[in-house]
Amino acid sequence: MDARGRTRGTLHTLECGDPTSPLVVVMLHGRNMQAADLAPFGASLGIDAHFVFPDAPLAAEPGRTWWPVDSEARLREQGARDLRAMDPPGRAEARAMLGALCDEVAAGKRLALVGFSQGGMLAMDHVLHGGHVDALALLSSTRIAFDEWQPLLPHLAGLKMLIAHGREDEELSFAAGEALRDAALAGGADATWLPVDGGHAIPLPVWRGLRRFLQGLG
Amino acid sequence: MATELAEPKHAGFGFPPHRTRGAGFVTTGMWFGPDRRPLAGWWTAPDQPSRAGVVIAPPLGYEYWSCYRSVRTLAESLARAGWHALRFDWDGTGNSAGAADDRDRTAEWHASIASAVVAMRNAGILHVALMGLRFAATLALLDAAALDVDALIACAPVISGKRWLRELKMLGIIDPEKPGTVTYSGLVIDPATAQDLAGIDMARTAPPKAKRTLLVTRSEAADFRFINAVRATGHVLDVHACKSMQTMLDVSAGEDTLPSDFVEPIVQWLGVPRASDFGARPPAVQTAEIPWSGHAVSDTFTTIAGLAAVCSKARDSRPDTVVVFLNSGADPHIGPGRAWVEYTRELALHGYACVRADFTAFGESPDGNHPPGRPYDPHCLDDTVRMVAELRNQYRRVVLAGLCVGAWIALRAALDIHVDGVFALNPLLWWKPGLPIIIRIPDTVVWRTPMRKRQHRLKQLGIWSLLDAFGIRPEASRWLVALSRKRVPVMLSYAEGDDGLAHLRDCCSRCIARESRRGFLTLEEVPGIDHPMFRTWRRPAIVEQMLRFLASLPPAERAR
Repeated sequence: MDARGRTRGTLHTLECGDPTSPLVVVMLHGRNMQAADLAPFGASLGIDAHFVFPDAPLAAEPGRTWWPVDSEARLREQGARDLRAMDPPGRAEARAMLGALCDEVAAGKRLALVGFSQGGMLAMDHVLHGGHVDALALLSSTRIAFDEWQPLLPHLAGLKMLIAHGREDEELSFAAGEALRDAALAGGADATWLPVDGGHAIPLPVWRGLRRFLQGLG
Repeated sequence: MATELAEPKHAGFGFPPHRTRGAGFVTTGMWFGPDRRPLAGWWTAPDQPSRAGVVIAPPLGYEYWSCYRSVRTLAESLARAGWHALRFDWDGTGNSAGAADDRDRTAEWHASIASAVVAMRNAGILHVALMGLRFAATLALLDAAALDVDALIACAPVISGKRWLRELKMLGIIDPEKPGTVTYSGLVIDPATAQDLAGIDMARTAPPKAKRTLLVTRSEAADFRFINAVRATGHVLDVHACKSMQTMLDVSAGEDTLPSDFVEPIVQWLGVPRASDFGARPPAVQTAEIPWSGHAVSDTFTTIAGLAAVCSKARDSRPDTVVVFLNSGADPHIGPGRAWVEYTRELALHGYACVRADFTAFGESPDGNHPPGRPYDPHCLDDTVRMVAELRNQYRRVVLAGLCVGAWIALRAALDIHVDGVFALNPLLWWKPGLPIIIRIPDTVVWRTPMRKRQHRLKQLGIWSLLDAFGIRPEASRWLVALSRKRVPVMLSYAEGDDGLAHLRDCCSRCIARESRRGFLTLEEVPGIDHPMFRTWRRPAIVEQMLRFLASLPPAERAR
């Protein structure tokens, strides 16, 4: 299944699957990645859905980023950690672009939003600020701007969520993943917690877990 | 009347002798010089009878590769103008006998130039001109009077040996096992040779007076002190400023271009040779016994599938396995820094037949309709397929070997045809048709940095491993899987830290681990050697690896 390039609003996307499917899966890549890195997995999931992989708006070296990475990179260089206090500039703009994309591709359809690492931070931020999704999967991610997020957690009430994190993650600590899980549960989400062996990566067990999660939406 | 070529002295290898025919000339690979240390030459004979010839002495070191094609073009142009042209390899260089680190280099080089002049005279050439480039021009200037040549052409001669040594030291590598020894692109300068070179200062001590001399300089302003010193001795010295000579001397083979003001002025200066009823008769010694590592190797100039090749085997042996070394980059068949000559002779002594061949429009092969020496040109694959088919008629096992581009082509060919093994040195398996062809590895590394960073990031994220699990693989993995399924033994041998290795480790490590377990794929990193294998003291490690690989191949019966 070859992905097709498109322009949606201000974002470039790669898309595959059935555009007429009632289920849309928007998958957000992490820092220093790009849409093409995740697009090959669309077909491998074996799910009847329209898959949309947007490229983040900003160029990074390598890949792309959803917001300027200086502060985030600096923090991560200090070791695996929880970025709950980080409030990256450009977050609101990224959220607005994602919102516009979701509105365009998922109008009248069910929407599952999947984010890896920085993409997960943006996905959660989008939902907490009122973005409508039917399911949310956060892979190897963390809380950010948590002072702002905390009062918004009730937006997660009843939302089907998958939160996966590697026990040996050296970029975003395992504890950060657990804290993200706890925040989701505190907001009333119907959250599945998937701890896995390994680092800041997408290993096979996570992918299997994601497939089960998305299959469960059908 | 076409020049008649003598019959080969040795039939040798079972393939026809080497001949490359062009409009107005024919080039033959041949041996000459002393039996104890034969010299290799490419004799380009004019179609019309002629008794005039030019000995062309190539540069030593890196420039040998840079200007190989330009020198061949000059020889062919001279032949069209009625001159025989003999290009030769110095003792210890190219296809000639001797090792790069043998003693008495300068004495042997002087002997080489004399042997070439004698070979021309023995063939019936009455008027001999001598031409040299860079340090060869220096040697030619020093020897022309004693050799009594009729004309001398010195192209960008090294005027100061000390300055040239400084250049070599800056560009070359110090051999850690031999203090004071510099190696540069296969040229080895030991302390004794360095001392000889340091004594050369032709601006201070003009060379002996030759009959007539053409000095081809890089620019009009160059070499004034030298020109004045030479003219002060009464030399008849003409000067031609070749303003674009750097395009054939200061670049890598493959980036070189023939200077527009190089060939014609030289041909015109030499003039039209006197008509002759009887042409000179170039020697046609196809095979020579080359002393090597205390034994003898038979080296034969030949033609395989229409391509120029030199075949090596141990004297009186009947090998059942042939290893074909393909061109690396745009280098001719002697390989980068002469590595192919060393490897083929070593393997020959261990009972293997070896072929170092030139693709169409590379080295000494005919051009067909192709531009010269373009790495990855599709016809290189066709040439490989045809060579393997011809060699199959005489050998039970055919193994392909190559470096960088040559390794890529060897692996690509093995996907399509039956070969009994591939020894691939430093293949850049990220390359695919459509990507730019960058000759110099440092430039390649710079160009590929963004790609490499991204690939490494994705490795850190486990993406490549996951993709492999789903059967979504980069081209390199697809090749390796397909070769393994075909049961083709493959050795991937990488220089320490090579860019091609970085690609495989980032993107294909899961695939390589799996296919290695199947038993047909081996990947090894060789410490201390560089991509083009200029660190000559590390080459024995490659030979050891090749011998180990060849010994591991299944018997021919099983393989077929």
